[in-house]
Amino acid sequence: MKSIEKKIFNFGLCLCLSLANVIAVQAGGALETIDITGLPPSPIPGLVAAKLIGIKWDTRSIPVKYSINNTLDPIPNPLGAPVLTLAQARTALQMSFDSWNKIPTSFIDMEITGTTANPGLVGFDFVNELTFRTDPSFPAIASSPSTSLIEDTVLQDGDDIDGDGDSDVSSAITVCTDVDGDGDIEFPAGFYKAGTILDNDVQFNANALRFTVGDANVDTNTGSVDLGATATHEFGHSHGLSHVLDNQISRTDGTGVTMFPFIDTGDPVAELNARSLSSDDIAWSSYFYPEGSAKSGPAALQRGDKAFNKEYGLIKGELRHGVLNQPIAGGSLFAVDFLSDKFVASGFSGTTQLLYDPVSGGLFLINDPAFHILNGKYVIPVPKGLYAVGVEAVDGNPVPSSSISFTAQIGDAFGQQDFNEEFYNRSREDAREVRLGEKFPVAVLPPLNISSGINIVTSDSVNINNFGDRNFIGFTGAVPGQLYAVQVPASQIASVNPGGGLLIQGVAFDTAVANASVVPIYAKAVLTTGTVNGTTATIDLTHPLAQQNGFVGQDSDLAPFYFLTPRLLGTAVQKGIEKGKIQNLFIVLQVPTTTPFPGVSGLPSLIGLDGAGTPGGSNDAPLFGFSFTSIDGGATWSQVPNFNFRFSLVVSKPLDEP
Amino acid sequence: MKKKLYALSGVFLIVLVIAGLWAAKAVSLTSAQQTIDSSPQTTSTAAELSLEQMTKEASVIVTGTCLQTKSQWVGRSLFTMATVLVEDSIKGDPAARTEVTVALPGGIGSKGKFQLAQTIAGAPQMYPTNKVFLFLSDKSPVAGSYSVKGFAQGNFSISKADDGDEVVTRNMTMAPLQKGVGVTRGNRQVLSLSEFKARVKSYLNK
Repeated sequence: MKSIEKKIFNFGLCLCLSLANVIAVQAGGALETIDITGLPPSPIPGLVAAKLIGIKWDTRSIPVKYSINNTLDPIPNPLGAPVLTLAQARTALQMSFDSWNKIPTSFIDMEITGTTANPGLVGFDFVNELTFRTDPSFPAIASSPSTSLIEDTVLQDGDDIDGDGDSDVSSAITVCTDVDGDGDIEFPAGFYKAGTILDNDVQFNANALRFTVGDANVDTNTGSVDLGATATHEFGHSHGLSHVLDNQISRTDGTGVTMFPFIDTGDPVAELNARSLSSDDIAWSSYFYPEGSAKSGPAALQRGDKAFNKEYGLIKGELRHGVLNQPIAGGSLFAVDFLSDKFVASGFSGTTQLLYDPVSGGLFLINDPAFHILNGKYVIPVPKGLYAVGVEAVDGNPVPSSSISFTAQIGDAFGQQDFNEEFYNRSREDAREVRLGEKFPVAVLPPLNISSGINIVTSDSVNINNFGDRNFIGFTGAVPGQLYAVQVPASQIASVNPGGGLLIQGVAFDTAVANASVVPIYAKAVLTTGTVNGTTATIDLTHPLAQQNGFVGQDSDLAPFYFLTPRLLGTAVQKGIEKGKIQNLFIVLQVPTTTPFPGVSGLPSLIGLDGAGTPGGSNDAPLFGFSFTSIDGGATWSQVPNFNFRFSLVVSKPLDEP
Repeated sequence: MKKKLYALSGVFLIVLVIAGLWAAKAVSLTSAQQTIDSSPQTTSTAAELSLEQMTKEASVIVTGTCLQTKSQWVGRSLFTMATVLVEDSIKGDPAARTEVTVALPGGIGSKGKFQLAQTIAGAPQMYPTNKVFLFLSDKSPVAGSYSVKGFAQGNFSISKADDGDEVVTRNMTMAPLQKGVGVTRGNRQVLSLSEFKARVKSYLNK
């Protein structure tokens, strides 16, 4: 994730200035389904063009009424004797609903209104069920399946939608009601848009986990999880929110947003935090269910409510791929406070469609991005403020596109998630940019619409990666102040653009932490020069080309440190290489110098490692021998023979070269 | 990953002592002492599984090509039934050596005149022509089928790298991928199919 470095240092061979921008990433948005209204034709006979849309409750369904399954009381505990009664669980679950219900700018309202004695599993039955019963094969901690319409539909009095022999639609009501008192909910007759949720259930896997309530019961046992944290996340899905990427709110707060897809059940701070909604969670719930958007009904302002359109503005624009010259599907746009760099909200780019076979129910992709990706438009709802807007690829770190949405997967399928993080810099937005970390402020002043046209083109910069995929993270036994360094030989730098110029734009470090609530912070990040002699190195830490003290990484992601003067730096390095003064660049990262390290594990900030880990083990990349470490402040360095550290050098050709 | 890290904290003090001896010698940072297996990212709120765990716990491990997907109501739930033509059976039931049917939670289907979908965040997905590397469980809610191990964790795609080699990714892809070593754009994680298989087989032989 992100955070921003702002300190500027003078130094080194050319007294270059560096501006580090550690960008975080995140995204918000909708759980998707398809819209086949009108059965739009497609290029493939027999298949339909199915536009991807979000799912949400119709206002006639609100408040959404849930029934809790009462056939398991107390709640089973796979670790031992039961610790949770059904009444306690019900109280905790309603509190999780209330976390969403209390958002003053969102009119979502979800309430537990009754019980159900279903002895089986959840399903589409017009009972919104909360249950601790799951199939033995169910592998997740919890899930929240929603059944929705995939075409605009007129529901008529007497319609039996779920096929159970009981009418699910009544013309006698105007809001969803259990008209006949049989336990399931009837919908009012009328027109409903594609994407309307008809039924939602949430199942908690008590076969595999011990669910607890209360702060005192949140512990480091990884087989135990806070029910409130789990439920608050799932209830986000229940009203249509997708997973998001943000797992680090700021440079001082390592906790993530509630809709991040993973729960660190070994970190009590992270678990407890998931109960509380972040600004991103609140923004998207409000965007989908905007208070004040109607004069009557649940969307009308009531006491304590705040009108969404007066509290929030929309940052809008389009994201395009600078190399492929395509609109990007599923790129993650994010807004951080311009002054504090604190993450506020995010969104995904792209309007997309799939091919749908009405006979089999199958979805298809063809090798034609122009068909599947209609545009790269995005929106980020944010409160009044001044923002920097950035973009990150959904490239698997920290979350794969398959965990996000169909749209993100479509972009991934066409090779679009291969760009470096960068910020919007207005007139300099282009397929090639000098400073990827340069930010132009975006003002949001609701209800004025002044934050549109924030269009971003991804840069064609490349990374020199002397490593393969991440196999491990380490090192758990690092001593305070331990240094990690990666050599980039001069020959490799010179080969990027032989005979031409070079922009050295930044470095990026694959960083991680042991506990989700901890910020991966490092004493410093450095780009400098040095020499190698056999298995040792001499690295010049006193004359760095660029340095960022207190470097903030990103949990399970590549964290960039972008420079302010890539041209000067590139020219200086090229001249140094030509004159034989530079044999290598070194990318250096230092573990914090003081202990104890934060977090329940007490482990240092970690780095991503490529390597089999065992002698002779299989690996996707050679062990280059470019990785070094020092535990004496850089006085002596030793080659690490069994891993490649995952540090990148980010470079580009100059603007005036093809 | 984070959960395992906590479990490793017990050896922390020992490692510190060892680390103090490094200064003057070549460093051999062994995974057992210093690192944590960086398992593939999970989906949804599933319990995270390492590749070794998935290998050991899967009933069947195969590579193959998704031939078709078909939505099916099972009781009151929709599943997408994916038929996979097996190309390489790495572990499991001999019956799974030619073709397997995998039940994926959620799908699209009709109930009478109504066109419906069931959406589950983070559930595994497959598309026809998708080449896959699957870790499967024989525990499935649909008779005669397998389920993906660990929700979506056991579902990998096989694609071509820009040098023609086959690679494994977490996500489906139709475009040639850069392997990520050397000069490359972005930092997408891909792994050569041969290495991935070798790693899985090494876990099987442990």
